[in-house]
Amino acid sequence: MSKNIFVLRLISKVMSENMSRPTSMSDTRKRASKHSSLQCHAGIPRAVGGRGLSVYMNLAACFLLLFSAFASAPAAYGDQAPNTTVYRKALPGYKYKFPQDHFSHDDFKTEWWYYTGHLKARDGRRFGFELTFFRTGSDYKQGAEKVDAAKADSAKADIAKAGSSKPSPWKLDNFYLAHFAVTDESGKTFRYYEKLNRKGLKFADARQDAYFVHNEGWSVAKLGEKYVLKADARDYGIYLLLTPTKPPVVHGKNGVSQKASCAGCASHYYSMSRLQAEGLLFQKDKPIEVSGLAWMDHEFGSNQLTSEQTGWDWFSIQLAGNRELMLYVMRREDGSFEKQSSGTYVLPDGSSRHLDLADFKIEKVSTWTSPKTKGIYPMGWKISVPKEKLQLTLVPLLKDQELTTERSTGVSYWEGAVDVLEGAEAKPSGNGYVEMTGYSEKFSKKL
Amino acid sequence: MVGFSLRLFKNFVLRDIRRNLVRTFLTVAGIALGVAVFLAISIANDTALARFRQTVAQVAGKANLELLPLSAGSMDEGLLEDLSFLGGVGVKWTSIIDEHLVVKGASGQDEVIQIIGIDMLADPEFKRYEESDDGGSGDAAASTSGDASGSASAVESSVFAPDSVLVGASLAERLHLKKGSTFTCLLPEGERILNVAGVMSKSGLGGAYSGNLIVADMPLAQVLTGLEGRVSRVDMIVGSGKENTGDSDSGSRSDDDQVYRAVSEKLRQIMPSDIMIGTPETRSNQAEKMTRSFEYNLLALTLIALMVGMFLIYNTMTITVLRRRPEIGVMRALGVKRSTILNMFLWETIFIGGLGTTCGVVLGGFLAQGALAAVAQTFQYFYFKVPLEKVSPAPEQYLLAAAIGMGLTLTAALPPLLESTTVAPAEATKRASFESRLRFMALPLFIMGLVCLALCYLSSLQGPVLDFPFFGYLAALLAIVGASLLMPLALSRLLPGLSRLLGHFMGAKGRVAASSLSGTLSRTAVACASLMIGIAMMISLAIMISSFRKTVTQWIDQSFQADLWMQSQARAAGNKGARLPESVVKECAAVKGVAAAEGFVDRRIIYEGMPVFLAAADFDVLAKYGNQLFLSGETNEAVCNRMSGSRAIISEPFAVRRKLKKGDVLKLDVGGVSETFTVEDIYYDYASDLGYIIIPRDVYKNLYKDSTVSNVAIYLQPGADLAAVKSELMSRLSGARLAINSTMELRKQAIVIFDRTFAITYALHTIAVIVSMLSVMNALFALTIESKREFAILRYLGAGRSQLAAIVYTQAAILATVGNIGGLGLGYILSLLLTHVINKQSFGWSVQYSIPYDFIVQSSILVVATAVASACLPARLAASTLAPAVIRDE
Repeated sequence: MSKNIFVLRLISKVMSENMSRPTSMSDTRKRASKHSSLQCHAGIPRAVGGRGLSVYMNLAACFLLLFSAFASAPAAYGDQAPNTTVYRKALPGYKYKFPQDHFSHDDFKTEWWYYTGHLKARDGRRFGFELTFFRTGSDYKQGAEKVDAAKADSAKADIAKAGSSKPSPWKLDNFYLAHFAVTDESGKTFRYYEKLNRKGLKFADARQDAYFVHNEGWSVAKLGEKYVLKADARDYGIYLLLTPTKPPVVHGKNGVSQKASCAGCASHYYSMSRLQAEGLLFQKDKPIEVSGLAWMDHEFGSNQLTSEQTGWDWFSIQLAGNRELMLYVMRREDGSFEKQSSGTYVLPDGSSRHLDLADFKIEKVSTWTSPKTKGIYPMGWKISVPKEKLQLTLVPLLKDQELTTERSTGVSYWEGAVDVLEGAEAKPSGNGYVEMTGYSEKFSKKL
Repeated sequence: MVGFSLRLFKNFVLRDIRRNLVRTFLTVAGIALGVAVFLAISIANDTALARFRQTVAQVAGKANLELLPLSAGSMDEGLLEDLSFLGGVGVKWTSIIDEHLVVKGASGQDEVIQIIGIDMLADPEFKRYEESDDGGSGDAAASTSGDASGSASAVESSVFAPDSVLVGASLAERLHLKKGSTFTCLLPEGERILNVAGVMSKSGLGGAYSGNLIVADMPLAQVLTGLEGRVSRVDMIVGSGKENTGDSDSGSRSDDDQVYRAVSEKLRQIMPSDIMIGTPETRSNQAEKMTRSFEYNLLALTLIALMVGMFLIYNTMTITVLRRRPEIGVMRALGVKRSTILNMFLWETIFIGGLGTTCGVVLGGFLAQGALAAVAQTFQYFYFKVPLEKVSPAPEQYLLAAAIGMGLTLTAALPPLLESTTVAPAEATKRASFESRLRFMALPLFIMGLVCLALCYLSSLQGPVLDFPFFGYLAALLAIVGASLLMPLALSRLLPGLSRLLGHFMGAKGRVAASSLSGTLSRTAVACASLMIGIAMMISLAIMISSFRKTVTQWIDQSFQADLWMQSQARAAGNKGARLPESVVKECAAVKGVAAAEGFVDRRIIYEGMPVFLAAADFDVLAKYGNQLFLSGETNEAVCNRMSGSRAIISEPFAVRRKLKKGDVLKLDVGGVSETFTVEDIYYDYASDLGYIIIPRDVYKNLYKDSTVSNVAIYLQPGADLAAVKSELMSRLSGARLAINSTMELRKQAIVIFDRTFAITYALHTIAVIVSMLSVMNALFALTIESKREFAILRYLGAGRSQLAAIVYTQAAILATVGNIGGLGLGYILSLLLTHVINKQSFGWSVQYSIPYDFIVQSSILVVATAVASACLPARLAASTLAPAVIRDE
C-alpha cells in the first residue's frame, strides 16, 4: 500500500531534476506567475500554465496516469481523451496461486513488489534497506495503434503499412519505476535513488511468465525457492539472497485488501513477512558481508484511493518469536481513519489473522518537525492489539528519514527503519518499517 | 615613416580628392562592391554552417558521445541492447530519431520539417525544452473554458497519448497551432492527423531548426519516419556532459575523461564497424566537409570582384601619381623627402581604401541576407535541411572582410606608390619622361605577361589541393595578371593604326582621340586592363553558367528515358527518406500500356568519412529501357547487362572526388560486414555533387534488408496513352499519396532546381557587370581630366566644344571596344578554367563547353554603350575647358 508513494517520489525526483536547471527554472517561474495573473483576470482555473514542459511531461507520465489508479474515479479526462484502457478491478473472490501471483499482473493498472529489511554486518553495523519495483499501466495501452481498416487491395495495404509492423520496443504499455534506499544507522545517513523507464530495449520489465522484475540493473528474481535481490547506486548497493521461512500471507478478506468503501477501491495484497537475508551490501563500492531479515509486499489493483483520503500510515513489523504484524490506516480529511483500514497478524506457524480497525490502536509518542518541509510527523509509536495481546513501541533508527524534494513541488513523505520494543517493560523485540504520507501537506493536493 | 600630419593630409590629399570627387567616388564604390560581395557571401556561407552546428548542438544538448550509423541513415535498435553496461558506469544515454517529416502548411502547401524522436522517459538531461506560454495569446478565455481541471488538461495533451507530439514555436505560429489542436502530416501511406501535446518555447531543443520541428516519443517517431525497428543515432552523456559550467572540480573532470575513453573503447569493441563512435561535432564537421567545395567556390568567385576593385585602386592611384608628378617634382626640389611624398600617397590610399572598405562592410552586411536567401535553397536541397532564414554574422567576418579590403587596396596601390618616390626634382616637370619609360617597358611587360600566361597554362594542369582547386584559381589569377601585362604593348601597337583609321573616317577628331590615348599609354593601359577584367569576369561566368545549364539539360534529356516517374508525395515535397513498398513496382508494371517499371532506392551513407548516396537499381530493366551515359563510351545496354553481383556503377562526381576509376574496388561496410564492389563503369550525373554508388537491387535488398523503393520509373509501350496510364495508376494505388510526374514535368523541375542552385552565381554575375561598368567610367574620367591640357591646346587651336565632346566620346568607344575585346579573350580563358579545372576539381562534373553568343553580343553592345553614355560627364567637362587657364601651366 505504502508503495503508491514511490510513483510520487519518482515524479518529484524527476521534477526536482528538471527544476534544478537554473535558467529554465527562473523563466518558468516568471512565466508561470505571469500566466496565473492572466488566468485570474480571465477567471479560468488552469493548473498547467507555461511551466517547464519536461516537468509536465513527467507529470503527465506519472501523476496523471497513476493518479487515475489511486483515485476512486479515474482522473477526469477532457472530452478529447481517447478511449482509455480499462483495467481490471481488484474485487472480492480473488484466488491466489503461487508462484504465479508473484509474477506481473499486467491486466491491473498498478502493481508493486516491495522489499524492506534490516541487515547486520559482522562488525555489528546495522543497515536498513528498501528496494521497490513499481509498474503502472499506460492509459493509452491499447489505443496506441491506429490502423486504418479499410484496405482494398494488397498494394494499397502495403503502402499503408510501409515497412515492418513489428511494434516498437518503446511502445508505452507500462511505466516501470524503482526505488532503492539505504539507512545507515551507525553512519546516521539515509540515501535514496530511483529509476523510471519503459520496457524499451530491456530497460525494465516485470515478466508475466516468471518472477523476474528489473529496472536497468536493479532486479528481483526467484531462483528455485529463493529470491535474489540486486541494486546498485552511487554510494550503496545490495546483492542479497532471500530465503522465505513462511508461506505468503494474504491480507484482507476474501482475497482483497479494501482501501475505501467503494467497489474496486481495493487491491490484491500479500506479503512474505519473514525472509532470511544474506549477501553483500556495498558501501562506496566496498563489499560488506551482511545478514538479516527482509519483508516482501506485493500488491496489485486498479483504483484504490479516494479523493477524501489525505494520506496513510503503514507499518510492517517483524517480532521476536517468529511473529509479524502489518497495519495500515488511511487518514481522511476530517482527521478520522478510513473504516477499511486494517492489518494482519502472522503467527509463528505461518497462519494469519485479519485485524479490523477496531482491533488495534496506534498512538504517537512524539512529533518531529521536518526542517526542510516544516511538516510535523509522528515520531515513535505505541501500538496495541489487545486481541493478540500485543503492546509495541516503535523507535525510529533515524529521525530524518524523510524524502523531500528541494523545491516546493509538493510531495514529501517519511519512510524509514524502526526498532521495535515489546511489552510493558519494552524489551527489544525486532524491527520494522514505517511509512507516513501526507504530513507536510495534503497528499493529493498537488495532483 | 608612416607618420601622419593632418595639415599635410588636408592640403595634399583631401583637397585633391575633393577636386576629383566623381573619380574618387567610383574607386570607392568599386572597392566597396568587392568587399561587400565578399563579405555577403562569406556571411551567408558561415551562417549556413553555423546554423547547422547550432542545430546539432541544440539537439545534442549535453550529449558528448554519439553512436552514428555510417552505412545507412539509421541503425538497428537491436544494437542498443548491448548498451546496458552504460548505466553501470554512470553514462546516461538515449536513442534519437532525427528525420524529416512533411506537414500540410496553413495554406495547403506541403513543407518539410524536422522530427525529433526521443524516449520521453529518458534522463531529463535529454529533454531540454519548455512549453511556451500559450496563455498569453489573448483568446485564452474563449479557448480554454473547456478544461476546468488543470491536471486533466495536462493528460489530454500528454506526449504519451496516441499521435501526440510537441511542436516548435515557429511551426506552431505558422500552422496556427496550440495545445490541443491538430495538424496533418504526409506519410508515404497517406495523411495522418497529429495532436499537439504542447508548444515548445525557443530555448533548448525547442529552438533547434529555428523552432520548425516536432518532438515525439520514440515509438510514434519511429512510425512517422518509417523507421520501425531503427533509430537515427544514440546520444550519450558521459560524466557531466558538455557545456560544463565549471562547477565540477578538476579531479572529477579527469575521472570523466577516463570513463569517456573507456566507454569509447568499449563501444568500439561491441559495435559493428559501420557504427561510428563520435561526438555531435563529428556531424558538424562532416557537414563542413560536404559543403566545402560549394562554399569555397562561391567565395573564390567573389575574389574576382575584389580583383576588379584592386584594379580600380591601382588605376586611380597610378593616375593620381602621374597627374601630380609636376607637383611632386616641385616639392622634391623644395627639399621634401621621398618618404614624405610616399607618406602622403599612402595616406591617400588608406583614405580611399578605408572609405571603400567601410562602405563595403556596411553594404555587405545588408547584402548578406540576400546572399543567404540565394544560397539557402541550394544548401537545403543538396546538403542539409536546416532553416536558413536569418543571417548570423560573426564579428570576425567583418574584420576579415575589412582586412582583405585594406590589404588588397594597399597591395594594388604599391606600384604607383613606389613610383611616386622615384620622381626626381628635375625630371618631374615633364610628364613625358614617364610615358617614354612605359613605352620602353612595354615589351618587357609583354614578355612577363606571356610568362604569366604560360604559368597559367601549367598551373591549370595541376590537380586539386585538399579537394580545393588551388591551382585552378592560381591559373585564373595568372591569366588576369598576364593579360593585363600584355595591354601596354598591345595598345602601343594598336593605337597608332587606329588613329590613322579613325582619321580616315572621322577626320582630325578621330585621329586626335586615338593618338591622345596613345600618348597617355600608362593611363590607357590601366583603364583598359581593369575594364578587361570586369568584362572577363562577366563573360566567363556567363559561359560557365550556360555551359553548365546546357550540359544538364542534355543530360536530363538523354538519361531520363522513362515516361512517368512515381514517388510518394512526401518525397516529392522534400522528405528524401520517404519510401514506397516494393509491391507498387509490380503494380505499376501490371497496368495496361506499361512496358516496364523500375524501382529505384537511394539512401545517404558515409563512405570514407564523407556522405554519398548509395542507390540500388534494377539493371535488367535499365539495360532495356534506360540510357545512362558512361565515361568509357560503352553503351548503356552493354554496361547494364554486366551489372550483377558485387558490381557497382558510380557517378562522375564521386569518381573524381574520391579518385576512383573503372575497375577500382569499393568497400561498403554494412552491419560490420565488409562488402566489396568493383567499379564497373562511371556514369555522367549532375543530380548531386556528393555522388552516387549504384548497386544491383537484389544485392542491395540482401545487404540492407530493405525492400522499399524511393521512386519508380515507368516505361510505356509504344503508342500507350500517357494520361490514361497515369490515371489508371492513380486509381489502382489510390490508397497511397503518390506524386506521378511525366518526364516533361520532371525536366522542368530539374531546370528550376538548377536555376535555383545558380541563383547566387547569377547575382555575382550581375555584380561583375556593375563593377566593370564602374571601371569603364573610372577610366574615362581619369582620361578626361588628365587630357585637360590637350583639350586646352586644342581649344586654343580653335577646336569647338562639340568637337572636344566628340573626341571624348570616341575615346570612350575606343576604350570600351579594346577592353571588351581583351575581356572576351580573357573571359574565354577564365571560362575554360572555371568549367574544366575549377568546377571539375571541386564538384567532379564534366561540363560541355558552350558559349552563349547572344549574351556576349548583348553584353558587348551594353559595355560600349555604357562607356559612351558614361562619357557624357567627362565630355561636358572637356567641352567646358577654358584654354588660357590651363595653358598657363605650361
